[in-house]
Amino acid sequence: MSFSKDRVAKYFVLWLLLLAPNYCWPGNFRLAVVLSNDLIAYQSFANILRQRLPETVQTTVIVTPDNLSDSPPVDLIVSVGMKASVSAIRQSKVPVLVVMVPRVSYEELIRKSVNSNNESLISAIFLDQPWERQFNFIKAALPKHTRIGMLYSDNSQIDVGKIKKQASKYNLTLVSKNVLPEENLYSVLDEVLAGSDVLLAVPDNTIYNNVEIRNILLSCYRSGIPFIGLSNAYVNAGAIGAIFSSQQQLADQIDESIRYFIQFGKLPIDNYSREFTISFNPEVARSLNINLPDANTVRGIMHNMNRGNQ
Amino acid sequence: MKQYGIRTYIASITLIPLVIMTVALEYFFLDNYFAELDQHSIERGKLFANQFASSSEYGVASNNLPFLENITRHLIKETDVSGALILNSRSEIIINSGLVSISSKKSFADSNYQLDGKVPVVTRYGKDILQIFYPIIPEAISLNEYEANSVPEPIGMVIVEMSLARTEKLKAEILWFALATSMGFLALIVFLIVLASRSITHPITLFSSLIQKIAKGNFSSRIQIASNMKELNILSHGINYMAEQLQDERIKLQEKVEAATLELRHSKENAEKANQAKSQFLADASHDLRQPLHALGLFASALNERISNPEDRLLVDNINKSVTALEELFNSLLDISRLDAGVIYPKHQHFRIFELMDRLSTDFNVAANLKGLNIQFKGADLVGYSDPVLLESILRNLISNAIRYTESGEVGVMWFDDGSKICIQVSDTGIGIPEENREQIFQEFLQLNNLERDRTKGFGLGLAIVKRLCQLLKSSLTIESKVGSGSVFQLNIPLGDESYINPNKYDLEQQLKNEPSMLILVIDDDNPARESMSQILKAWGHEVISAISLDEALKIKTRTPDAIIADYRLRDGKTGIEAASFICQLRESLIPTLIVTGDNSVDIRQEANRMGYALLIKPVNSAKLRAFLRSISRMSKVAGLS
Repeated sequence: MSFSKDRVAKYFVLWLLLLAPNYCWPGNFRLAVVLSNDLIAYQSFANILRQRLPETVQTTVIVTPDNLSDSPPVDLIVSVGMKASVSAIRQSKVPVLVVMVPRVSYEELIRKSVNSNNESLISAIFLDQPWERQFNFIKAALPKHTRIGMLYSDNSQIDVGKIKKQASKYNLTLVSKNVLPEENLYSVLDEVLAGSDVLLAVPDNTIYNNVEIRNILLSCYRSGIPFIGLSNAYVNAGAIGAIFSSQQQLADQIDESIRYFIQFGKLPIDNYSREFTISFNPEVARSLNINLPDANTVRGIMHNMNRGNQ
Repeated sequence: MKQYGIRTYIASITLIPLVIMTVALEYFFLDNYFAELDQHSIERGKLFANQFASSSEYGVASNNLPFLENITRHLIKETDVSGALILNSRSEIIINSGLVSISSKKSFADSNYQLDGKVPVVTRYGKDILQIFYPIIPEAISLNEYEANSVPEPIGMVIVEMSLARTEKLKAEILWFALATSMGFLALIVFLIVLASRSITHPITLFSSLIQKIAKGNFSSRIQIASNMKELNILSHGINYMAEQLQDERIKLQEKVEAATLELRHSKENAEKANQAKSQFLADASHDLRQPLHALGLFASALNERISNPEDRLLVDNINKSVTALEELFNSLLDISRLDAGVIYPKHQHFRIFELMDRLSTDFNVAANLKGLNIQFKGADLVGYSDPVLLESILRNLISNAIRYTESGEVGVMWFDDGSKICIQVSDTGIGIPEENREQIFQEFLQLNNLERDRTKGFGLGLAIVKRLCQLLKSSLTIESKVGSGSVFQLNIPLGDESYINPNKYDLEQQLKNEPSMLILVIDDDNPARESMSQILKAWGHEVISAISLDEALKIKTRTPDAIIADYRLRDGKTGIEAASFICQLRESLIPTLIVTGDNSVDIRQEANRMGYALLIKPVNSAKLRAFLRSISRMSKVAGLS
């Protein structure tokens, strides 16, 4: 088992934080974990998070984000998901750590709901992966696939130009199409697939939802184009692979942020999840006749590419 | 009660439940199986529709018509799938392959299925078409566990048309196969029943046939059966054993019967011989004893004609009385002996009672008048059925007795029809019979009031003869009597039928009237008898020609005689009746004939009666002979007048 330098640094910081006495809060730290709903996935995440928090942290889990004003006073809110985050930011005066929200959605939320007065009280750990990491992943996993197809709608609020630029840094070509509401998704998809080597999913509920995903995957398969998903669910549905942060990885980073807040009285800056997970569907790779390296190899390649870029 | 044969009975009790069970089971299983076939077709159609809808999802979503045509083409190739149709989310038909029932959007809109339905609908058109409407619902794959998954809406619909023709054909084939199998099964059962019942009925038929043969006396018949049934074998052994026993018994019985028959035949032959001997003896005795008596009587009569001296005449009268008494005794004894010997057989015939009574009246009027008695004959003109000769003999004895035992008053003879028979009563006003003696009077030689044995009062044989004759005629005889007042004897005879009476019968008795001087032919082989007869006839003034035989009589060339008196038994083996008949035929004339015979047999009487000849038994009473001649004379007179 090998440890990366990032991981060694992370444990070192944790060790220092554990050794450092809590001077900021003379009593127990009061934490509210606001969930967007009571889905099992959220509650599971809340449990994972609580298991990581120190005993001094008094944690309250709130599953009704609409009535946060009625809740007892807390020192910090961890809002899980978009709905909880909107409520927390709009209703609460205490600092809010936004988690489980894609970066574009968070930025949109901040733009609409947060004024300059409390902006410093809000921070986020993004759900999605940074484009560099994704391009790195594609390069490492599918080195021969350089034309990246991408479908998006107006709902996705992505900056295609910026992404194209970033892609070009990795010698990748971005073939993107905006799916307009009046257009047939599959017609646009066929166009994108016609000019792509790989289709990269973006966090856009309008296109990538539970109903359409099957046919999108079928289209990709029929076109012989591998599809890179956003989570393990995509891999299970038929995507060739995905790079994402698991609940545990996110919980670890949230735990670090809370400790940081307890320690220093402020939240870390907005950031992507530091840790990520690589998942592959070997059967799909085999069906598409693609020789796919294993996840650790890809991770190693990505690490090397990062070092090279730095 | 209606009867059935064993085979029908066995077949009925076996087949009826079997047929009911077979039909019920067949109905149950076929009905279930056909329902399952239908359900199977529906399920298969649903499965096809489901697969078709799932397969079509991508093509409908992506509007990939080649893809849809391809999968539709594959679907159509499936057995029983006759058509397929795909509609998109706007209910537009994008693929229609062979579906004729719904070929346009309008007809689809008219159908009972709406696109927003999420459950399959099965509709049946007619007998052979099944349509399954199946929504195309995208298969949702959960991508975001932090958001509730939306429920996918139908993006189109498929309609799969299934042809049930194959299923219906299969049903028909199964039905016919089941029916044929059942019929075959039942036929096999019937065959087995027939075989089984035949194994019972055939032996029973043989038993029946054997028993009928045995019943008809064929005891040698046996039955040979080889049956698997123990009881029938036991029965056949039992019947064969019974037949053997019966045959043995019959042989023994036949032997006994044959022995008894042989013995009886010997006895009968002996009896017949004895009877013949007795009859012959009686005939011979009658002839031989009467012959001299007859001659004696005739001689006494002739002597009486010639004697004028009163003293001699008294002597001759006494001789005549003795002869008459001897004749009567002799006749009575002969009658008794004949009756006892059983050589007299009644010959029943239909006859007029009046004619019989007329003769009796004529005969007994004189005797009654001589005694100063009034004798009356009363009765209707009835026809009786009996032996008139024997009946006359009975009545003669009864009337004779009545006159004999009546001193004053009257003697009456009455006959009447009581509805079922003719009752003949002979009554008198005589001494009467005491009740205690009413059985005794029928004994021979018993005379209640003749202790002194006065021969003028008879010999006591009359009622003995009457009793025997009544028994012979099977006529009942009753007596009513009161001592001092008189007696009534009644006997009954059956009613006769007039249509059986010969109308041409020559009634000689009616014609008995006295008329002298006739030419009389006397034929008798016995010289004294012929001579005595000739003499007495000549004495009465008649012209006599005599012959000893028919041949001699035929040689005599004279005119046709007025009367013939012939002995019955002639020398040449002919009878007097034959001789007289031959002469009548030769002369072509009906010559009144008197047959004289010593044989008192009924046969001769009946033969004479049949020919219309008068008959007198030897020894012939001269009065009777004269009465005969008188009747001839009167008849001739009547003929002359007419």
